[in-house]
Amino acid sequence: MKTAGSLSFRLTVLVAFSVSAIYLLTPVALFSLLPDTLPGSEKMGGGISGALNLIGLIKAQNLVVGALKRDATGAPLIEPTPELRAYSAANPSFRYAVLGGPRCQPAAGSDPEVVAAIKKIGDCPLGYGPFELGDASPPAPAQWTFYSAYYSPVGAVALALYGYRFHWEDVLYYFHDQVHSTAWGYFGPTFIALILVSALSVRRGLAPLRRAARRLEAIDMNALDSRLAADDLPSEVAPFVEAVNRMLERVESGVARRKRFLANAAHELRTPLAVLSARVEASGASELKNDLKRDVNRLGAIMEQLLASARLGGPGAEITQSIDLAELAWRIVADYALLCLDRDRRIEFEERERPVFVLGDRRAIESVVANLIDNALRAEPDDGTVLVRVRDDAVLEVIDHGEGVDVEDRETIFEPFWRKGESTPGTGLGLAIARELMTKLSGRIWVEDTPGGGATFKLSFGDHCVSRDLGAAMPRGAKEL
Amino acid sequence: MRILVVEDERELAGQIVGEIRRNGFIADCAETIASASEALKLHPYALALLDRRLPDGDATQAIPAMRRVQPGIRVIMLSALDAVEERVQGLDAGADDYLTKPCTLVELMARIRASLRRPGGELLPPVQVGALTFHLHARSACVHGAPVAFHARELALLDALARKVGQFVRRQALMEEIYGYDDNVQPHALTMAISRVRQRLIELDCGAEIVSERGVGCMLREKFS
Repeated sequence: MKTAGSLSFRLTVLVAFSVSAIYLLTPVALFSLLPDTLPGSEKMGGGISGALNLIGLIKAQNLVVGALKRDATGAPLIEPTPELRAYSAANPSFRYAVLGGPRCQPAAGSDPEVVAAIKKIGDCPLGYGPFELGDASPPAPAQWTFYSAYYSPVGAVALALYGYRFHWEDVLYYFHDQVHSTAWGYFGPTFIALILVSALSVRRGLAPLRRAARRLEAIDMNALDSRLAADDLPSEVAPFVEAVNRMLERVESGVARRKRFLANAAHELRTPLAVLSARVEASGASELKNDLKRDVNRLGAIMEQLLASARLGGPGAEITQSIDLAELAWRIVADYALLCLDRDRRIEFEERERPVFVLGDRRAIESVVANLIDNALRAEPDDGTVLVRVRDDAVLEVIDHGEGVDVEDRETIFEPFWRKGESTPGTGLGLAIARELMTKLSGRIWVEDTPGGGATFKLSFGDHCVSRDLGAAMPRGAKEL
Repeated sequence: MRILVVEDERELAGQIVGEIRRNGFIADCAETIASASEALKLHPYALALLDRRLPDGDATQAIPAMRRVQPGIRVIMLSALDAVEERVQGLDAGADDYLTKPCTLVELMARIRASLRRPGGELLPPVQVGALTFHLHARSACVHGAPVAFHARELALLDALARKVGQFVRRQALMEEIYGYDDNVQPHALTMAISRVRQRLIELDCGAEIVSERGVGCMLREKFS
């Protein structure tokens, strides 16, 4: 089954990603939201330009701070690193100045014009913000100026940068710097706790769904009246469970309707057949009466097959009746023996001492056996005898001595509407329904050769064969119900 | 002996009543639970044959009331409903037997006789097969009204066959009926008894015959001419 992946995994990743994003981008967001009241803020700008300003600034600041050294007197001095040089080369208008040391003097290597510009703001400015270099050279568009107090490795300094820019690679540098300067001792556990909490809450929240699934597993056709517990469900899951419950309700009422319909159909069909059968029986003995009795029998067998096939339609249908196969077969053979008495063919039952119990549906098995015997009696030549036998391994055999079934037809005769020839009477449905019924009873039906000629139809009841010892231990009569 | 048939399907009721009367019983017919209760107040019945579905309800509901009116009555349910739970319901409601439609009239008669055969019960009407009359209770046979002598074992055999007249009876069942659970009896003894009785019936020319089918059993029936 293909799924969309684990919900808790996805949520965990999402939480980790959003927390990181919030953490990393908060300074950018603050910078882009700088209020207009800050002096000169219109030049720093807010919005996206402000955010880019910050990212560019961080890179430039770090480059300049990284180049700071102390001279012999302890005053700061700028000793450009290769990176700073490269940056300056790439940005010709970039200039910088650092005021520091005990008297807040300009560090060696500072740009004098920049020094002069920030000295205008104060002798040792501790604030921050953009500054102006003078009318002579305003910074080009997309270049910014910024001065701020900075706690550097050589002590507190005032740092003034002019003409730095935003480069795309600065974004990476920014993230790198953020991660490096993070107090992981505090944020690390917070991160992990957040991720664990989100994963756990998903697990806990979905636990009722897992319980519901286990309960659903136990519901079959015989337990359609059970429902899922809808209490203590998270509100997100409750509609789903309620929908499943409503579906169960619909299925249950549908199944009940079908059962009622079948019971009605069975009643409507069996009653007139019972009338017909009684009428035929009460009529005077004649050739016609025997023919009619046979026809009524066949009609009954086909009707029972169809009813059984409809009744056993659903999975988990009740095939839990324990049935003495030998007794059942004897009854049907006795019925047909009655019909055969004054005809030119006979039927014989191989008597057995012990019952053979199988699990199944009585009427269904009866109708299949009746169908096989009916076919066998029609295939049997005059003066022949059809033999019915129940073996110890719960295999029922109906043996005729007719023409037999060709090897290539042994599967196709079980197809619906198969007929040997146009002259053969019947709809060709009997064996197809018989196979369907046997499949529903987890059994099997097949045909073999009768030694010496003819067909032997066999029924097996596979897994549903109850051990004979168990069967023998059952009280008499218990098998009926 | 009186039997009440409660069946709303008139055709079927007519056939059943006819068959019961042919077998020497008195039969009344009711179509609803209400008219059945009326009938039960008028006559004592030995047995009621109840269709499950009646116009005024499920007949299983009516069984306790019937039993209150006539405590000794036997009840056979006759129904087209045959699911296991239906049978259990029927028997739980107090029916003595449960038959499913369609069933043959001879089987129905056999069930009625079986249900009525109990110690201290009323005398069952004799079974008539051709000119042979068999009194189940006294175990005696008459042909054209004149008593005919049989050996005790042969009478036991005729008794077992007559109760299920028109139906096959298994050899195993005959053995138990005639010889009890005596292990020393050879199956051959039964074969001999059957052929003796068969021969007697032919000699008597009474229109009754015994047919047997290998593995299926024996049957007493009216001779097909």
